[in-house]
Amino acid sequence: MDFEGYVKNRLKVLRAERDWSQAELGGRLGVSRQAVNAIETGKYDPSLPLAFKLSRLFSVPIEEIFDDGFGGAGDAR
Amino acid sequence: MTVSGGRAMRDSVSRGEGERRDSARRRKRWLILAAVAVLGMIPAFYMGFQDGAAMARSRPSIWSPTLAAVLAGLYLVVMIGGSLLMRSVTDELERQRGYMAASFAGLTLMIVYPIWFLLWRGGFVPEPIHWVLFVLFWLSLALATLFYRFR
Repeated sequence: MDFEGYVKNRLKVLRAERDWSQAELGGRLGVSRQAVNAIETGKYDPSLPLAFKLSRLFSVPIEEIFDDGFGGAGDAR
Repeated sequence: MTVSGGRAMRDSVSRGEGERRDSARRRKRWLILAAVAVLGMIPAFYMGFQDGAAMARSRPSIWSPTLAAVLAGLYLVVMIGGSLLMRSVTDELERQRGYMAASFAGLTLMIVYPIWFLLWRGGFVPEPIHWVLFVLFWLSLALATLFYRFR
């Protein structure tokens, strides 16, 4: 099992669709603009609670925001 | 228009509730940091002033026990209170960076002190100096914080 590396995400696209700045998204999530930037650029993987917050905020499943490259939900290889 | 210019313009377009919360969070964070820095420096400045003045007069610097206890109490309150207040304005990325920087500083101390102690017992170097170790810890913490922040 390989947990190395960061997961890809569509955060920048989802944010752009709503015309939100990084600071705007950070404020809505309760994190800093730097945290949003680090997630978007793949330098930091958010915690599970923050991933759920993102999912609720954008009203999309977590799998539609993040992609670990291992396929769909339940495929825990 | 450059890419960064376009991003800056787009980022400035929508100043909503989130941005206001972000600004408030940053303001609160800087206020706490400033208060901790000012209050925490009182013992340091007093110590430097007292010891400097004593050194200028070629006399030993003698502190009253009450004053020493008050300054120690102030430092304790500032460090613990500041840490608790900072928890409310620190997000998970900043916390993770803080943990990594503290681990680095702790590891530095755990390597330097025993080696210094052993070399001192062997007669190679002078006895470990407590304030040098303290400064080394803070310096390595600051450097590691900057590294994780800007890498």
